[in-house]
Amino acid sequence: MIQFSSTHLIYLIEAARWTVLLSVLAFIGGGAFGLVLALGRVSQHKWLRWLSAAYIQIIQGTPLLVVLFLAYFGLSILGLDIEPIIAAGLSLTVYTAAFLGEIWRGCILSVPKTQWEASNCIGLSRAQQYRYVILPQAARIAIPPTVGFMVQIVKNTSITSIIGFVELARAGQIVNNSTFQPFITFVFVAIIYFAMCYPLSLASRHFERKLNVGK
Amino acid sequence: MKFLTRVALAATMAIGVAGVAKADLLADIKAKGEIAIAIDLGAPPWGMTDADLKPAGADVEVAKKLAEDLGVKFKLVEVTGPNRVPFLLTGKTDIVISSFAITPERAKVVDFVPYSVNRLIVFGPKGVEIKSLEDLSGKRVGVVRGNLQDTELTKKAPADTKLVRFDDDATTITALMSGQVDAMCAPYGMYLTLAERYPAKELEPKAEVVQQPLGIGLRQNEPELKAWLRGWVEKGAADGSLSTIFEKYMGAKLDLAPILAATK
Repeated sequence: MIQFSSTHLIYLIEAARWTVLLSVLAFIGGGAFGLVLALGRVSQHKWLRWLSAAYIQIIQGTPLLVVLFLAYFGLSILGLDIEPIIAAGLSLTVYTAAFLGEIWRGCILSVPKTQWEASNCIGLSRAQQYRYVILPQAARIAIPPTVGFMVQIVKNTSITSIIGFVELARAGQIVNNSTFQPFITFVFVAIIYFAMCYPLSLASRHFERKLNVGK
Repeated sequence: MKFLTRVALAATMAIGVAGVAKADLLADIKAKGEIAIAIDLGAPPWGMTDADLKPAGADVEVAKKLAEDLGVKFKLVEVTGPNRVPFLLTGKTDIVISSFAITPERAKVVDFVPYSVNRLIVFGPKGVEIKSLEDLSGKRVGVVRGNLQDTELTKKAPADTKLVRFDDDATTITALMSGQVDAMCAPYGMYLTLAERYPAKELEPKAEVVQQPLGIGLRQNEPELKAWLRGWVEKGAADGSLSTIFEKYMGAKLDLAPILAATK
């Protein structure tokens, strides 16, 4: 009979490194592409607005599971032998960007119109308006919903077990199925997830205070 | 999980099986000196991990023996229940030995060579009065949603049996241990493990449900590999080596002869 031991705990923590790596990939890739999408959504060019809106609609309406499936199994049927980590990073980027793009578009739009007008009056170009006036104010508003979504992503990475990743949730399942001690196993899984997500929430609170959101 | 399986099947069928180029896989495996075998390590007692988290279980032993007899290295590909079919069809593994039940739905997209059986039983604590499937009437029975035990009991148990469907083995077991269900349906090997782990519950087998043939899964149009696997299983059935592995985990002998005869 196998008892839950420190070996199992170490196994869980090692698996959690995948969860962290996948989350970081999603934040960086999704953040960069999401910003492009957000700016596209509020662009002065009609086709840019249309293109980013279509992208967001399609991806938001598609389960992450299916995106992951197409990236890993679909591309491999087309003859591209894609590494699991690349398929996962790509899918999480595609998925995260669609949501962050829409969240940030809302934040940009919630900056009062007078700020646009005032900055226009002092002769700033469109790029300068974004850089010095609009985005800094939008960023403050964006912190709480962005962090909220990041915490979701950390937990959503568990879906990558479908393409063979043994990340935290899947590792918990494997440990549980060899020890048959679900309670202790999943309590530790929960503690490790909490240890990853709580610092994000703390950081969010810190920045909110620092940037004085809602005054 | 049922949903995942459907998505998996639908997606792989939709994008087409034709993508994987046909060749003589058996010759390729020999040339490579390595066979990739997919196993789910979260499905005890077929695939699981030992105290040092090394792969263990009946399927792992069968896979190791197969690679050894073929004279190549064994490469383990870790899969889960729902992604066994896509891993196979997209060539990310050579074969699947992962408590893979032979069903007509799956047989449309993959080939099977039977090598074992999954014996499902209903078991529960000593105090619960169940002697046959008819006695399940009015009882609460835990099953894993959409699994074979769910579909079989839905068919075979009396209409007023309260089937309580959980997402996986872990929650079903927890429900039995905490008394939220009177009995549960699972492979016999799992009953053995649980009876050992929780002696205070005095678990005992209550009723037989079904014997489901399990197959080694391979891609279609691989006649050379299929013939070799078939010959290997027939030899293992005749010399008793497959039964020895089976008995170690399931506590009973394995009689493959009728299944092999039925799938000639």
